[in-house]
Amino acid sequence: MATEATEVTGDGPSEARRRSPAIECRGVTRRYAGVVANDQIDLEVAEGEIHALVGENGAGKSTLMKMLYGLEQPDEGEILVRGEPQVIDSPRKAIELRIGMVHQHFMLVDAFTVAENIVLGAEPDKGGGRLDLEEAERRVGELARGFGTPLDPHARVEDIGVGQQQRVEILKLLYRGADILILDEPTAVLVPQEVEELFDNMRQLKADGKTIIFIAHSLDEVLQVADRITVLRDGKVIDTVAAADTDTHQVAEMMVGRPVLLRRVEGKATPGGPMLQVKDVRVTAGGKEVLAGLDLDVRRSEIYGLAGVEGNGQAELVEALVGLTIPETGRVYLDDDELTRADVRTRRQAGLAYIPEDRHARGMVLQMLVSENSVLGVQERAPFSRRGLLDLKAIRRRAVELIRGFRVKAPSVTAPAYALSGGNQQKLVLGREFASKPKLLIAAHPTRGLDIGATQFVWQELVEARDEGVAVLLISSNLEEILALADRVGVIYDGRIVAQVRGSEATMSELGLYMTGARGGDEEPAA
Amino acid sequence: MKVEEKPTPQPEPEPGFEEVAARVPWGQRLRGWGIQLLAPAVSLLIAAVIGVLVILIVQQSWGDVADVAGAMWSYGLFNRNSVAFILGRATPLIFAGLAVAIAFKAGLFNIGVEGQYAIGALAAGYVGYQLSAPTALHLPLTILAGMAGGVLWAAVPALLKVYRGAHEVISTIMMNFVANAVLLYLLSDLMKDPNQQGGIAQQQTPPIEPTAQVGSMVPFFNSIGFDFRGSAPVTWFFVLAIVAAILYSLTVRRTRFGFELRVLGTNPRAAEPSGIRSNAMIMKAMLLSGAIAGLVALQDVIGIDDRMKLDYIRGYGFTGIAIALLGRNSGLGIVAAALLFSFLDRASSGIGLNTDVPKEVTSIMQAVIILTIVIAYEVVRRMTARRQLREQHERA
Amino acid sequence: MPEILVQLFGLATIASAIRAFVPLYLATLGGVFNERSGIVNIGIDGMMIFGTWFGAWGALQWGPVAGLLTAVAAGVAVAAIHGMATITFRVDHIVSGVAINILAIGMPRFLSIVAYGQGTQSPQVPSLPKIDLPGLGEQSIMVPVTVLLGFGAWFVLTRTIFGLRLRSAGENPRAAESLGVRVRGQRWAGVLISGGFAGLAGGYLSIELVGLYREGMNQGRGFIALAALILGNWSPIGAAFACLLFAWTEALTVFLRVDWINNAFIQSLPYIVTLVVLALFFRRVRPPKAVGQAYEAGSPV
Repeated sequence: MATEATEVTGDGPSEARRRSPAIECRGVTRRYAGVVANDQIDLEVAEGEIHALVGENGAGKSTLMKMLYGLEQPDEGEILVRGEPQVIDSPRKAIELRIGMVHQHFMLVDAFTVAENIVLGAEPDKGGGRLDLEEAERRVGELARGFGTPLDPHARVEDIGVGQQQRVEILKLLYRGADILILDEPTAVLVPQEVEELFDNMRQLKADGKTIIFIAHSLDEVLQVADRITVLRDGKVIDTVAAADTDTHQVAEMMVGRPVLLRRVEGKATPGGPMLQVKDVRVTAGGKEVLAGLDLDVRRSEIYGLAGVEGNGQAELVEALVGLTIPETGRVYLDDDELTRADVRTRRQAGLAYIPEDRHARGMVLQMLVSENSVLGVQERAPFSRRGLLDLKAIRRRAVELIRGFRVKAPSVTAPAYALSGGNQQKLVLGREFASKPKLLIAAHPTRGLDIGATQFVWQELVEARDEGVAVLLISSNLEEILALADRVGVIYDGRIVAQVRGSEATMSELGLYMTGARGGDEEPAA
Repeated sequence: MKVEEKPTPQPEPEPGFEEVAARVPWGQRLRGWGIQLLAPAVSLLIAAVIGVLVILIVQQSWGDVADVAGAMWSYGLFNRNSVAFILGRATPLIFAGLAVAIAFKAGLFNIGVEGQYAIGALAAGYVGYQLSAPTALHLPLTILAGMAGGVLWAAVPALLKVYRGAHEVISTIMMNFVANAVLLYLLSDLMKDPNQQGGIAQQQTPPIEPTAQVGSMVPFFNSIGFDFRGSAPVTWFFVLAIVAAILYSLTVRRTRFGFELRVLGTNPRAAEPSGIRSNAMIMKAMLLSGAIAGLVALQDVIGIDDRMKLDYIRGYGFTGIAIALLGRNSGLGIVAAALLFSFLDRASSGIGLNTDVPKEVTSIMQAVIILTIVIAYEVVRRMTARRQLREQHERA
Repeated sequence: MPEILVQLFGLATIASAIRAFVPLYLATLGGVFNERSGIVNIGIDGMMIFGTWFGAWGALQWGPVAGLLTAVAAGVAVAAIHGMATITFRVDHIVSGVAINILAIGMPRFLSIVAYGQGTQSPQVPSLPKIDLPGLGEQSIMVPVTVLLGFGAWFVLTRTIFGLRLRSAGENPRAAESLGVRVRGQRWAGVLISGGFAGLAGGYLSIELVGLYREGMNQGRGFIALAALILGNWSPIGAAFACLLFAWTEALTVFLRVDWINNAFIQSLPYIVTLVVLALFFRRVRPPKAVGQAYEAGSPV
């Protein structure tokens, strides 16, 4: 299948066809404890092309990439690099084969400098094992100059921006002489403008003769930059197509196996009076004002979508609303009760529900039982506990309700929560928070990590909650999600809401401009 | 998986509902318990093997191995007073294990049980000889004083942790050394027995009033058919220790406090978002741990003897850590582990009396048990987790 | 000079502080290595205790230099247990360290009975020849050696490839592994080096400072070293200053006499100072990011 597709592509790859492909997988299979993550994968990546790998969560993209980079080994099949069969049993071996990988979550040592990060593992030696830092900095400076905007080799990684960190990651690979680069969801952490820059860099790398395999998130992006696209579903290769010959609909259909596209979910209710009011909230962390006099209100029966690049105060705002931090100034009201200095339990009892961004870490205790996890946060309420004593039956009953109502696949309510898959853990947390009958629901990135089907389900639940009168504050870095759900959209930038528009009127490009600070800040928030 | 049927009010139960609602079948439970017992069993076996190796290295004779085994068996279990001794020695170990375990449950490492019970014993000793009151008042007050002493000494690391972030491992150990200074000072000065004979090791308080003393359990045991010597060291504190273990289990499993303690201890980051005030819980857990620790040496002070002696501070706190680790922080496990260690102590005397091998060979076995048990539990935990994950995938 | 100043800063006090500095600093240097590689070692105290016992024993058999080497070997051997538990089996680092400390309570007594016929003490052991340091009186030759080791540790950590890799294992093991750094190997190195330093510190105590092994002679120095590690911000240079402070308070327990404070409390000065230091500095320092976290490449569990 892959071979046919190659022949219809443009001149670059077909010229490359005469040589051996950069990477070739033949019948690669990988099983984890009974589940087949990769099933007879055949993949051919031509030298000098940008090859995108798309598929839903759990389709097997990451497993495949990990095998190419030596983090995992195939159970069956073989991998050929530049025509030679290879056993890639460690990242060390992959590096030897000039294969490099940029992981979705950057693999950087924050306390080290840019130069130290880049040379780690392949350090210049001054003799006798002494580290030649000057040489390292010189070489890094040289590499960085030949590639995009300048980068200070002496800067500590924790002090530079996300876009620059990503370039450090790419430089790490180039420093090692890699000419096959694997990029795992490189755009997930970037704003639209930074994405453009990344794509320019990718095209430049291609022009320098590098091969790029990238796992993609947004189909539009894939079509913009990739030469060819391989679609994975349920651990199998569905097809490899030339980007020029396809469109988002076709690719999406291949991904999910049926014609599905996410579209705006309309509800019935119209927003009522204010439920959450936030006035002039300021929070300082590490000497920096992370919330700079933020104002916000969310009404009954309204989904308020908070858009913004991560790190602009969203996390701090959520913490101040939930009661994990107390702001230095300003006030927070829930349904006219002032809760500025109230603790988490008081707020929860007053009608707040909270779906944390990091659900496994902050919303669950994986070693505790499914039943116990289904009352976490409401454990002090009747009927789950009375006079300090737990009612284990009532707790189990609640767990069964959640499992049924939210289609959680669980072996039993008395199994530990880690026996649930990631998606099911997430559904349990969502269900638990919905079931606490909140007035205000704070949902931080509620669909991150879910596949399309589950995402649709969560969206439906959010809309239903809204229709029942709940005020929903939806924090998401996924603009598609915001645009699909929000009645009103606010953009947070540098600790303030810099723009507010009706959900039905918002456009991605406009929001993008506000998110990067290219526009806004001085004008009064509208809508 | 075999499941019980359970009727539901819903007309059309969703697939998997019965499975979800069912309690864990007995077969699976037994298998689970079996796996849990595997780790201690392996650990004891390794300890025995290493004990044998040590004896062979030191004495180079299989005869000594047989002697030691025989002494451990016959003296350790079947000497006239052995059962009384084992129960009596287990008593402070149970308290110490529970004190460590309740802190463990909150994710805290209380290595300061040693200092806490030293101060507790001092406080109890003081109230015991200084106050005169009827038993109904004096005895509870003396016991409470012991607990208060432990609480006081646990409060310092707790406050340092909550307000200054200082790690409790180092601060509790430092408090042990400071407790030692306090002990030396008070027993040689303010609380010194005017009639004391002998040097620093014999330092002690004046005798405690009979109204503050806890009775021996020997008459009780002898009335149900045992034949202990009157001086056999077992008191009603043993019953108190068992009650404490039961209360501990119920608290951890059946109360909201226990629930919140476990949330904090297993995933501290999930505690605050769930409305649990971490700092308050840390304080409560640490103070409760100190209160239980305060009971550790009381059997010696107001049960077996009638005064506080420097000699009573003899490492129960550290053994308590071992007991809690071995007993997996469960009430039943702690009692079992305390009995085991107590038996090893008794067997050690037998080795000293009846063989040529140094009786400290049992302390090596205890150390090996501690080291192997932590590894064995970790291996078992991983095995169980893997099995759970595999089952999850099989369902998917 | 008033008596109190002599007690606080007199030459005798300073000379004594220098003697006390050596074991503390050696143990702390060891701590720097294991913590920077990502492993918490609460068992340093236990490793020191084994060092005191085996140091004395080795010195009795083969003389003081061999005694010190025996102490190092003992420390490394015990550290290997810690490494096996924490790196191979990924047991909680503190649990394993505590288990090692408990091991160090019972085991030396057994060994003493086997070796010396009594449980608490060894015979007098031979020491190294003393050197005369200007103004500081007779000191062990281990004093300059310790200073050199401090510089060596600093150099290795900050100026060598090994040091960079070791630190990367403690800061971000996944990143390190993805660049081909063998994280487990680095951590093993950190733990074993730590055990060696702790053993040496113990050997100095029994061979050089006291001249015999006595039960309980370590007096919790391993824990004070952990506090010095924090106060010294995980750096060999910072740790030197922290250890000087602690060593000075230890010297005061010998030389400071105040009428209105019972001597028992002066004896506990190092521990009280440690508590104060923890209270003041614990939050202001930056530990290695991944310290205490188990690591296994590509682990599903």
